[in-house]
Amino acid sequence: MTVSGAVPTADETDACYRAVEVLCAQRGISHSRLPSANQSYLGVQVRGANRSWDLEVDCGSEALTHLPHVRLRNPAEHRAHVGYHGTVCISDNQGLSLDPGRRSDLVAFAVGAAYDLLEKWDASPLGNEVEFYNELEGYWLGLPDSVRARAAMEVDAKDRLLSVYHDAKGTPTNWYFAEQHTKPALRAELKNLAPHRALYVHLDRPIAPPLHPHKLETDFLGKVQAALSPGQKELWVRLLGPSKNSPKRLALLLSVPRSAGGLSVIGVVFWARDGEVDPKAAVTPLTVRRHSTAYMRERGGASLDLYGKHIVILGCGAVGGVVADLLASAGVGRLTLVDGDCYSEDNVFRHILEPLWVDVPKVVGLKYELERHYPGLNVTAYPGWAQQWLKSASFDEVDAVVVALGLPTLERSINRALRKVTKRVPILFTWLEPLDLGGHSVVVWSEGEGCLDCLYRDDEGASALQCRTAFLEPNQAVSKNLTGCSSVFVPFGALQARRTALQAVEHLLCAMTGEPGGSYCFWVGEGRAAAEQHLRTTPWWSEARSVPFAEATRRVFGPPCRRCRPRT
Amino acid sequence: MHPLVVFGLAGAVLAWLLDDKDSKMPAVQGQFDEFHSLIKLDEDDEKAKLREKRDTLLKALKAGLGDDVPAFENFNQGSYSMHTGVVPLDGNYDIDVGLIFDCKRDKYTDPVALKKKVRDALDTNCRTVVIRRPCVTVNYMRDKEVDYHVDLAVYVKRDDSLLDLAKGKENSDASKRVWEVSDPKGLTSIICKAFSKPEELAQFRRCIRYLKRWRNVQFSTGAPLSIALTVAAKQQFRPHFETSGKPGDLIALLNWVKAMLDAFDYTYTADDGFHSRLKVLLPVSPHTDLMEWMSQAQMDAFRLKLEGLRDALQGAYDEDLPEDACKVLNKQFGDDFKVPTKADTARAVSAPVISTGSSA
Repeated sequence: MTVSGAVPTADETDACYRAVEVLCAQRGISHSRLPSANQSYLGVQVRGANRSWDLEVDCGSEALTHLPHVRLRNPAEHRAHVGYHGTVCISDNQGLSLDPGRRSDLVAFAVGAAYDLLEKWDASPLGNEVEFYNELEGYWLGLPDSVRARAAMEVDAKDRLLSVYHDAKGTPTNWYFAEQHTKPALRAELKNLAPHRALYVHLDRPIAPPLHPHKLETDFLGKVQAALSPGQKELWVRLLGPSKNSPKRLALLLSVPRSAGGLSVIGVVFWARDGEVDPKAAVTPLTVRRHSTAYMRERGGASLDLYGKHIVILGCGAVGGVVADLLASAGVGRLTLVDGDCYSEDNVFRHILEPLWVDVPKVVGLKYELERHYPGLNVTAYPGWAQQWLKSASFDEVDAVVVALGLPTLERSINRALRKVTKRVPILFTWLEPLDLGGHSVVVWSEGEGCLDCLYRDDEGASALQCRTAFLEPNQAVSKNLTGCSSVFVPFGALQARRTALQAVEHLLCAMTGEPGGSYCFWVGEGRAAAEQHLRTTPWWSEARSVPFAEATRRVFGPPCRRCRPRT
Repeated sequence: MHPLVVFGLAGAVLAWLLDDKDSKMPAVQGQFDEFHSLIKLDEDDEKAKLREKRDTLLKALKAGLGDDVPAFENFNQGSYSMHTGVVPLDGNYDIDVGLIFDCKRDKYTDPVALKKKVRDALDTNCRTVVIRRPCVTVNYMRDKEVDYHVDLAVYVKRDDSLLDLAKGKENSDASKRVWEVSDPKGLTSIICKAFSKPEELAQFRRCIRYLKRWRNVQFSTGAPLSIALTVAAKQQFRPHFETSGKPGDLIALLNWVKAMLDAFDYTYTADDGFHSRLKVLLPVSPHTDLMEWMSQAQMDAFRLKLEGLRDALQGAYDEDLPEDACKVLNKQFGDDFKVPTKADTARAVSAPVISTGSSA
């Protein structure tokens, strides 16, 4: 949060300077005060090894989230971490904890940090140049008249013609880049967008951007043209080629390598007339934000490793729907959703889908919403029952299976069917207890010891209908209905479903990268609602909250059962 | 509504009417409990007799030792102090007593000299006293058979908190008559504090007793020492309780046996070269291998029998009927592990369906 500060009094600015003096004295930095045209700013000259730095520091900032701004007067050269207007980037301001009551000390600290940064890069001209171009996008952002642009295509160093759509009525105005003849992925409404030609080229070396106070002009485009390879020049000619409505407005995207890794990308909009850049027309710098799948995944914390994974979810109800959403958000690139149920008004509030999907197969709604939400996600919707899907399923490209049905007999049947799959895949079963008792997730593998049937044994090892994990004593009337027997349901809320799903997804992703073998996770709810309904709970419900997952796994699986033990 | 939900609910109602909540009385655990009550040597008559014998013996020792022998204090050691004693198959009960003489090893450069004084003080008509390498054994006879025996370990004090144990027999070479640093009280403490939860400690002790009885049934000679099994349990045993909260002694024992078998490793010995051995290191001074004395043949026999026990425990767990499981266990643990009749273990016919309340 930023609090806009009042203009500091002369005394306050003097106090800031005294703090700067103290700091400089401590560090042996020669300094003097400079007059400042802006009353909020303190002018200071600090003398370094090779030159003096004329700085202006904001003394009026009451910001709680960043250090006072420092600006280098008259930035006559390209300097690392110094913007077009001279702003010295002294901190990324991430997670700073400031003492706003010590404003003058913060000002002095900022001066010291700016001095250190400027001196560091001044001492290494080569390093300064490399670092400056590492931060090219930030510098470009500061150019006069810079306009926002969005690139839905990958910035991948592959030269090609693109399409760009100009939103001239937007506030602010915006340019949307997309692959040629395609629509910008994240823009739902295209009605007011004007299409233009665009070109993307990658250069091995950057072209120097203008220095303050010069603006971006056509000479920059001339330097770009001179640096193009023959193949790029052909594309350039096609970009500027004849069209019905000359003169025309064109856009160029330019990427260059960063020594720190990846590519910097900048954009330019210009006018062309008769196959040439119009030297009289304005050139507009574009600050490009990447809307590409790969960028958004990496930036948003989605796992790039999971992008190549395919997970099947059998059962897309309150738990399975959230599991699908969470897996997609974690970065899984391909989902197959299997559920024969249509979404109904009964599901609203505890299901992730909106009410507009009522009477539509859940998997269809989920496919639509998830693919829109998570760029690059591929969802296959199978609006049928798990048993049917299994009959014709191929597991060649399946990396994991989630079973979220809450139907023990069917789940055990699926467990046995999946053990016939020749490929070794993890299978996660997840379900929840009624009301507020808790939820479970069990991971087993399609081969090896530890299967779902292991959990359906009594203390003596005999086959049982009750799962060892059960929190609720069996054979109690837990279901409710609001309108009669035709609307019977097991009571639980969205919070319980989501908590179960979150735990299940974490459990599965952990299992996918860990050692094979059965494992069991759970959460234990408060149980107040269950108690109010006089439901009897198992000893395990009371004890589980104090048992670590590893110990719980040992208890519920026990020795491998006959179905999963290797035959000797 | 989901058709399977309809089916599930209909079944649930049926099961609710049948209500089979009492149909899962644990049978095999019950047999283990009974077995334990039969083999456990604890606060019962036999132990009371042992205590009486011990006290009589100590009085006699105090009276019989000459004035030149320093005073001693005594303490219980071994299975008596660790609460892991089992009723002996041959009826020869024993009790281990430590005697700490108030002197240092330099008073008796020959430790057997002190052991002889203990023997001579106790050697009367009603008992026989034998100097064995680690202790002095006092046998009480009945009908020419040993009825009870008391093992007296002879210690002297040290400058640290440890003790020196008198080792050697009357006719041993001088090189075998040695004082060996020892920490019997430390060992007892470690075993007694193996688990902080009382129910886990109880299961730990039960399983040690099961294995000690198994050893007595399965071996006539060459069996591992009781203390070796007890220390192995400290190292490898993990309690097992079912989610019902009830103890699962069979699984706990099975897991322990598997862990012991996994701990066998190829080792070189001067007598037998490379072969598979189980090492059980004392967790206190002198940190020796309690299985070191066993030959390759004895170790092989132990491993084979341990594998047999593992398979039997696994087989018992897999048996559908408790009486069949107990038959398998009876062969391993002997006749104190009772085989119930079918009538004893008959389960009520369980319902073919229950309602669980699960959902997703």
